[in-house]
Amino acid sequence: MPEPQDDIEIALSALRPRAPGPEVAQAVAASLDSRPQERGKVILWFSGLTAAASLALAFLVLPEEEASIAPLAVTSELPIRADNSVAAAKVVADAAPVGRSFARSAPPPAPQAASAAGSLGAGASAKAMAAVPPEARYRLAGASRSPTSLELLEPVRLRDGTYVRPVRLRREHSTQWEAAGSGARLVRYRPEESTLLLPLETY
Amino acid sequence: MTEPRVSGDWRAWFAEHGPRLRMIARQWTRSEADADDVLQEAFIRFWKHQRHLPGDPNALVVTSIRRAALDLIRSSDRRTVREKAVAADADTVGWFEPESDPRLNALAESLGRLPEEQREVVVLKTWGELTFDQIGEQLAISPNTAASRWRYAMEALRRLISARSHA
Repeated sequence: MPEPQDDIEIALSALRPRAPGPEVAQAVAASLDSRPQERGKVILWFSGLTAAASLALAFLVLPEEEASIAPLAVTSELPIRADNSVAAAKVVADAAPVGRSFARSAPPPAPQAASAAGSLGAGASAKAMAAVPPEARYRLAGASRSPTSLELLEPVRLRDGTYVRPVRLRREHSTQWEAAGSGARLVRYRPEESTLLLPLETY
Repeated sequence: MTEPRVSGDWRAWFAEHGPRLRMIARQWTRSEADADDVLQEAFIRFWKHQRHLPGDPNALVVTSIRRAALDLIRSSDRRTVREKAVAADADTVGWFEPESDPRLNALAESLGRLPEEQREVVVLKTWGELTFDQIGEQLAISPNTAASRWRYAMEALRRLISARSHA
């Protein structure tokens, strides 16, 4: 037989508290339901701006350096032996960084870059040039860089609850070196790729 | 204790738990309107910021209600007046839906005759679905004190109901 105290507990649980008025639910809905909609609008709004912002950013951070490439027509004849240059060019091409930051590209080094320019001074470089027979010298035949391509990815939510839109920037550099004697060409290909996170959060 | 669902649509969660949460808010406020305000503020705060926090979400939402009630009291700077008013004029019958059983109405009325500190424990345990440990944390008292207040409240309610039935 239940204790009288238990009867009181059971009776208490039978009492039905009054429900909140509809105005409470409306006020809660105004606060909680408006949030994702506003966020959606913000994301939508930012999505439209993202392309423009990315383009502007790309031109600011990755300025076209046609002017700096064009003078490569200077086409200084650089000394390097054909057999060594092939290996050097491959090494340089294989080591071409992918996904590095937006550091401005220096004028592309000649295929002998790894050896002569780095370790030897100007005088030594001149000596090396003189020591190489003319038929083994390479000259810069051309340089090109593709337009920067932008890839806008879907917004993602970070751990702190904010939203960002990843933007992938890609472009390709290539320089062509021609052997003075044989006319053989070496192509140095350097893809460059970076990813930016554009914030979409506004509150 | 049934752990409240804290994911999905807030409407379903609010519809299920809103009445008992409002009951908790009501005991700490002066009026029905204040209870609605406190519940609204506390629930929004809980749903936006606290429902994913570790710990018992039910205790979290009760804490949120208590804080909102205390904020309301402080904002009006009438805490002492309010406590006296609630203690003296607790029309607890209006806290519940009308019942056809007169014994339940008598119980609802008797609840208002309890000392406030006992009624607080009764509300938190019955409709707050808190343990004595959690009630102790809410009210800054020991679990034993909370359990004692509960026992005294049950005895007092039993006496009040008996007295009414013999009257």
